[in-house]
Amino acid sequence: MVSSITSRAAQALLLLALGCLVAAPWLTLASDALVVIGVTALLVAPWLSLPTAVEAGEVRWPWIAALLGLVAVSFLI
Amino acid sequence: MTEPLLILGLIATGLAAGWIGGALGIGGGVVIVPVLHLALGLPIATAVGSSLLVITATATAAGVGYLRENSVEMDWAVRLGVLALAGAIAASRLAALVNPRVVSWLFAALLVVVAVRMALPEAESRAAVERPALALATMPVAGSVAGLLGVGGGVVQVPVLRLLLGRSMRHSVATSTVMVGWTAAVASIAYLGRGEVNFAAVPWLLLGVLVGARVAPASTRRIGGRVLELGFALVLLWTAWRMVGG
Repeated sequence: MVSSITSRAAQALLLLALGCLVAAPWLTLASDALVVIGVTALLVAPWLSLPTAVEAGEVRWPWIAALLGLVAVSFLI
Repeated sequence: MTEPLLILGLIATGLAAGWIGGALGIGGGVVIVPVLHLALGLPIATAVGSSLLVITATATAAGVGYLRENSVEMDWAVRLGVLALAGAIAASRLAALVNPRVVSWLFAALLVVVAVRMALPEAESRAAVERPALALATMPVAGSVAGLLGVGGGVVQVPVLRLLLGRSMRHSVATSTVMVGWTAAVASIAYLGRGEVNFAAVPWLLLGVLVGARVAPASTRRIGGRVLELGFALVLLWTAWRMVGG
């Protein structure tokens, strides 16, 4: 169930990203905002696979914490 | 970069990358980076950063499909992914200090490796004994390849999953694809921070890649996978030669 919801959410984010990035050059006034929204959607989408793994009980929490910790580090350094 | 011809060229590049990726099971980075660098004249760092953002999207889209059919081994994806991410973060930050000529030479070497692997007949063998410690130890290398050269890292991850962890080809590709989405996302953050992403090119590449990946399976059946592999191996060798100034 979760896999179905998260995969649809990931696809929706990818479409949002594509739409925003394609529209950005033509909508000059909102260009920067559209790029920020598009890139944010792109960077969030890959992580929506994690809830599926957690729900299935396939992954131990310390590994998930390490993965998310590294994502946080990548924004900080 | 809103000229119609340029946009068509970028969509065509994305189509080629998506089609080749879908037909031959390789990442689009080996097509996107050389085209952006050699044909459009973008600096190698900008070509790599733009490629990483496109790969984030394509790997996520493909990963969703694999998740739905339960082909992804999330346990291994997360464990291997932690170390691949560490490599990708380090390499993408250090990339700013590396001479662009060195990146071009390393990329050319990667193209040669991919071309040779493609030209040789695929071995169906899998590992009889799992070597998880060795598999984990190779992951920072896979992440570094992604972070420095703008390719997915599947060129390292898929053989590791097959030959060191004994996974089937399908499970290896599926698990690697999900990991590629993660590593490309964190690596692209560094390039975004340095302004080394071309936002005029990325959306058109994305559009082409997503369409190209969809039409790939049918066209592969028509042409024949082996002919495609040998033909593309030659193209990769020629591209490698051009990357080093040939």
